[in-house]
Amino acid sequence: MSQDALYNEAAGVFGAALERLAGSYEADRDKRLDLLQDIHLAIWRSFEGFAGHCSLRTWVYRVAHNVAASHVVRHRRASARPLVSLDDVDDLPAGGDSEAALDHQQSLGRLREFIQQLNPLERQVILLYLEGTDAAGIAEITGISPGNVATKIHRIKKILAGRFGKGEPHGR
Amino acid sequence: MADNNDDVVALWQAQGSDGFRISTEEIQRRIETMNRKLRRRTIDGYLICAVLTVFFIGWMFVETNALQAVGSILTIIGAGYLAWQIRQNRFRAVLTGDVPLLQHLRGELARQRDFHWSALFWRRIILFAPGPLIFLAGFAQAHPEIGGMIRFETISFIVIAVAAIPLNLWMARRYQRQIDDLTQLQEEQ
Repeated sequence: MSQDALYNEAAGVFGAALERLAGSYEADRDKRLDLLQDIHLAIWRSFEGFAGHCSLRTWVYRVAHNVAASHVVRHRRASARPLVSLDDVDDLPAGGDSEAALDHQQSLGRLREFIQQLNPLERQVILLYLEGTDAAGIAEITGISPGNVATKIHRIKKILAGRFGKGEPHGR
Repeated sequence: MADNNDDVVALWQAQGSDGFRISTEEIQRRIETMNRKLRRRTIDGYLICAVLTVFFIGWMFVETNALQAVGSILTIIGAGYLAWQIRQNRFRAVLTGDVPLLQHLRGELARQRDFHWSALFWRRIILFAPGPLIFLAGFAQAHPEIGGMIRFETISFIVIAVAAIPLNLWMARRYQRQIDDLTQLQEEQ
């Protein structure tokens, strides 16, 4: 399969997920588009060396998440807010309104804001989880052991249920 | 918990898509633009080095004493080193899907750490700080009438150079802490 054909297939299948990925890194529309463009360019260029040793999904997500991780590391100096791990999330303010009363856009905004507070590795794990990738897939993409991924997913589920679950209290 | 999380996952995946796509022709065009910008940046860097070199070589013919000559030569060597570094970094590496995130992130963090605290950092300090300082000392010797202003410039330069050391060490330690966290995560595997 040619580089162009591989890219077209990847953009068709994973295009929306890549948009969501960029959206979780950059709230500003222009910066988001720049990041998304960088991701697409990196994916197209990467296909020059694609030998099919892993699935298209793993390849695309690895490249996309690596571009996003580089983006965080490079632009981190401009932001004063420290990045946290999942273990520290409970210490962050969760917001006071009942999530059930908020509409989808507000919930999404809160969810993005929550994700943006996480360090790059845990951000990737939660994004892959939200994209429906299973623990084995997340382990393959991130390079974290399946056991560690399972632990992180367990923690993510608990946090999401606490913060975004209907009728449940936020935070702790 | 599971049902609630299914709602969150569904909410996440139901986000509207702008249908962002780039045609392969557009990709080629943008990569060419990107390469052109990189070339431009490289040329700008070379130009700065060339201007510094020409200025200090010229200065040695216009007016010089021993200190100014030594300072000029050291600054020219520094500019040469800068040009060599620009040449080394003139290409952007192509990412591949063979590298998992953990490994990529470690590499990125290590690169940033090394920028702030490694042999490269000390080479930058050693090659760039003494030259201008010795040159300024020679200039002050040749023009005692503006000694006050040169002293001020010299002190400012020293303060900036000295302040760069703890600042860079602090930045490097921040990156090292993140690398240590990733190492710990790998060791747990």
